[in-house]
Amino acid sequence: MNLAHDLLIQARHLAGLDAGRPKQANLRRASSAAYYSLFHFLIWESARIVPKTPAGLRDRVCRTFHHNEMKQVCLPFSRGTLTPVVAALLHGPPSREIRSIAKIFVDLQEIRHNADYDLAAHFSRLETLQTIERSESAQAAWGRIRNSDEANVFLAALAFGARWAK
Amino acid sequence: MAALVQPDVLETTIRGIVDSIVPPKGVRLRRIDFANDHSGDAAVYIVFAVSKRIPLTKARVRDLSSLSDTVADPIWQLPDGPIPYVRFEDVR
Repeated sequence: MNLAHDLLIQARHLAGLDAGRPKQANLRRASSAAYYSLFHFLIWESARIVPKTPAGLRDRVCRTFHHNEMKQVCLPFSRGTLTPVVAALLHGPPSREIRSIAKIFVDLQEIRHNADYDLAAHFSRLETLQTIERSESAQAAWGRIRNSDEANVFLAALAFGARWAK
Repeated sequence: MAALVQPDVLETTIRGIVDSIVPPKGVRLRRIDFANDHSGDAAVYIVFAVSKRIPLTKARVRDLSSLSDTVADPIWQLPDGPIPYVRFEDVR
């Protein structure tokens, strides 16, 4: 997805600015962009379960995703303790890839919140580059499971959030 | 009264997990904070201090990502455990 890719490029660009002592504003924006890259990557993938037509339908659906709902979906996948609804659809524990993606999403969302709102937080270039690397790593891991049943279930869970548990 | 001074079992377990991990060169444990994260979920922040004297390379970044996973993965497995967040701070 172009937006997710471009956000990663933007994050790397911002994290590499200011030789010597990097500006906090650049590191914060880089960290935030790394999270948003993964966020948009996942919601765009989730939109695959929506019909392609009419034009604009998928874009509209993408706007329904909620950060905290997605986090709450990711938590049981991260722990490997799936909810009964998800467990009934999958025939085994979540793969290492899906667990890794879920964990990174949760982690990066917390970083993004601090980057955007916690003025007391200090960001280092090293930690920012690590945040970017983890966003890239999650998207690469997705490529390895993209066509699996568990990927489809994960995407549906992200799309339907709390309503999924009914 | 005795129950009040007993260390929390989960906290002790987490400290044991973190203490058992040997960080790479130039990295040391700075602190472990138990708190709620931005959305109110129980969390533990494990903060490492990283020496700025070691050059910043891609391998260095990957080493720290690996350390993050090594520390956080066993905490994710704990029943009712907090969400683990591993963080790195620069030190001179």
